[in-house]
Amino acid sequence: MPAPSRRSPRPRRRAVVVAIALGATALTGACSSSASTPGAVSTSALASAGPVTITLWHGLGGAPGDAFAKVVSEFNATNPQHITVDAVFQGSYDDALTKYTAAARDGSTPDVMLTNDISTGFMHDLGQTVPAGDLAKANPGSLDLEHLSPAARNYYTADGTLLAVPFNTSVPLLYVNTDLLAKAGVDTSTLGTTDGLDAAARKVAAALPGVKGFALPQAGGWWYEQMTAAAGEPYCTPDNGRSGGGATALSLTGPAQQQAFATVAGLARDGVSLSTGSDDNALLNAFASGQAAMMFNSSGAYSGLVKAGMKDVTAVPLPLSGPAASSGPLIGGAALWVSGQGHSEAQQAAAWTFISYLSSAEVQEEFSQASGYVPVNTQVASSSTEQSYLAANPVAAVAAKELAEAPVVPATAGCLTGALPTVRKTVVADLSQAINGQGDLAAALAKAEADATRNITDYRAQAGK
Amino acid sequence: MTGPSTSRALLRPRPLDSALRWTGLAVLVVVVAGPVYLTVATALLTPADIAAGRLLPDPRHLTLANVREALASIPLGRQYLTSVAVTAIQATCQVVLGAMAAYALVFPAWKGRRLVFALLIGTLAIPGETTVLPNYELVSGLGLRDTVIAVALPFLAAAYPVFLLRQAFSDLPREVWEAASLDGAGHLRTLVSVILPMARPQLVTAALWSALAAWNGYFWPLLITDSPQNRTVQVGLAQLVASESSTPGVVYAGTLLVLAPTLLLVLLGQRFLVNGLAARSS
Repeated sequence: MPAPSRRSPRPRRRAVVVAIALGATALTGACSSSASTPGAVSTSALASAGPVTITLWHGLGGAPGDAFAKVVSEFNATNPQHITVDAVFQGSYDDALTKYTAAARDGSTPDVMLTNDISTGFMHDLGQTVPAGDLAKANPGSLDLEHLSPAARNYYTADGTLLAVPFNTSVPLLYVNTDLLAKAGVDTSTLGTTDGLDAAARKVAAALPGVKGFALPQAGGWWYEQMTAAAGEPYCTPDNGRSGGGATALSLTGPAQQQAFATVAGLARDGVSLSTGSDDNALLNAFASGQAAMMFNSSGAYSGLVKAGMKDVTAVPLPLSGPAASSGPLIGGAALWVSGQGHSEAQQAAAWTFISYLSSAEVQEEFSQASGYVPVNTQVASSSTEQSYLAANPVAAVAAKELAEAPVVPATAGCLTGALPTVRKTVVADLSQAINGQGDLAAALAKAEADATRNITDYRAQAGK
Repeated sequence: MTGPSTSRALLRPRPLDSALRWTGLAVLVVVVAGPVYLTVATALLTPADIAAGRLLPDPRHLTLANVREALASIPLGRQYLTSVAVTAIQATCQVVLGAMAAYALVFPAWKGRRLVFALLIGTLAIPGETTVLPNYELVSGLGLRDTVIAVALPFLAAAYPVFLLRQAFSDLPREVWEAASLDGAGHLRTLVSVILPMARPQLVTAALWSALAAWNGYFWPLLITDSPQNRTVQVGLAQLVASESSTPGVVYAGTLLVLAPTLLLVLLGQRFLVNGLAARSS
């Protein structure tokens, strides 16, 4: 989930440029997207090559950016197989993706691209990259994909092939103000379901004058996707876009999904929840200062709460409204893609070697502890230093457990379509009033579903699908 | 017929008018100065104060920690130099070319100059987004990617300064130009020694506009550069913002550092503007 606490400065502009670029690359990209992997390179290509420098583009700023720079310089210091990595910050995920799209047109893409969850469909359609699954198969001794979190792999998989290697990974959490909940007499063990959340929020608002029960970020609209997965339903059809011809329509009107949205809208209508509008920084501040007792947010938001001086805070997993076996959270964050077109075998092999390094248990442990992301390598859990870190950081422990236990089902794979960034904007625009308790929710959902389906149809036409 | 007493009564400020005027001014000051104040205050506050919404800074809590963290995170010093270079190149070229184009559109008589002016103005209606990719391919094709020159190259000429200066030159008495021609001054000499000194306020306005646009450029500099040292401060500033967690204080501290030259430029430029306007009216 990109940017729950911040919006891209000019999202509209990015969308326009991406649309133009996509239209222009559609002809070259679309025909190669499915056929771009005649044979993934093997890292043995490095043996005959001299020193190799590879470029990586990313959108990590702040503390995660510093943590990333550190692991890159550690790799360069050991310089395995004479590989040097030049990691370049390219603006927000949106900016970086636009730049990648422009670069694809004149063959100047970086060797490795770190891009966010919702650009997965677009990157897949662009057809510039070699699927991670093929690279892993061609290099048996390198990264063992089985060591990567199954839920994270599920998100980045299409047609049964892993497209990109998840790197910085987050999960959604329900943050709770322990002090306020204790005062209102709410037991956090009741917060596993949406109904439990509903009852608890109402209890807080009734017991504590001036305090709202609940709040959620509304800028990016990713909570509609999370609530859908937590209801065990697909966000787009058919099959969340994971197979065959890809997604053709958005789905917002499933019964369990609609019930989950209605619960949130009901809290707003009854004055139980707090709306901070489209400013997600204001949401963090409001929660940190005790104006709301519970808040949906990314696991990445925790460090901001700590910096704001908040002490009585913990988190529980995302409340579910569907059956536990077939519903759960969606992962967020970003994944590493290896560029194929225009890149030598040695460069691709070096890229895969570096990605294997970034995914190793040691690096994942170091990076996650420094950045606040959740380790994506399942081997990290057995490290004794990680265990003592989690014992001292209960919120990180909740997030790690949530990722480990997320069921791998179609609903928790999330919607795979290159139109997803546009769809998010449409959904936010169409639903923000209704989710804040104004107007007819069912009508707004039907309108958003129709508008977003049109986004998908338009995208497919542009991409020549 | 209006007697002298009546006109004096009209000139004397009435309390209601005065109150309205001051209220209006106060609202304007809040609208203009509010965001600047918030930036400065947030940049100098501790995260706890920001979260609590205490925006009337407590002098005991003021800190430079945010500014230090911002400076440590990005090579701001080097990027400042790049931004200054880009701003200087871009604004100078826009004003020089703008003045020359405006001169050619106003003074010498030639066929089609109205059409050329209309076409120039028409370019204002082209959205910047549509030119990004062609520019990217052209500049890449020239082998200039990741250079300071590349950042300024597509913006060496702009229609708005041409428009501004053309309007200014049109207001000047044509006899001045004719006199200069009769005295044997060439076009360049006439422009530099006669026309430009008379259009100083608009010249300053055009220069300010061009400089601010160059300083505030974000997307193009990001797209065409890769090395941190070839990037402008605006791109560096974006790196302070993390995707899933952010520290408002540090972001605002960075914003303050980037905003400071702009504020200075406007404050200094304003003095010229006011002087220039006063000179014209006398």
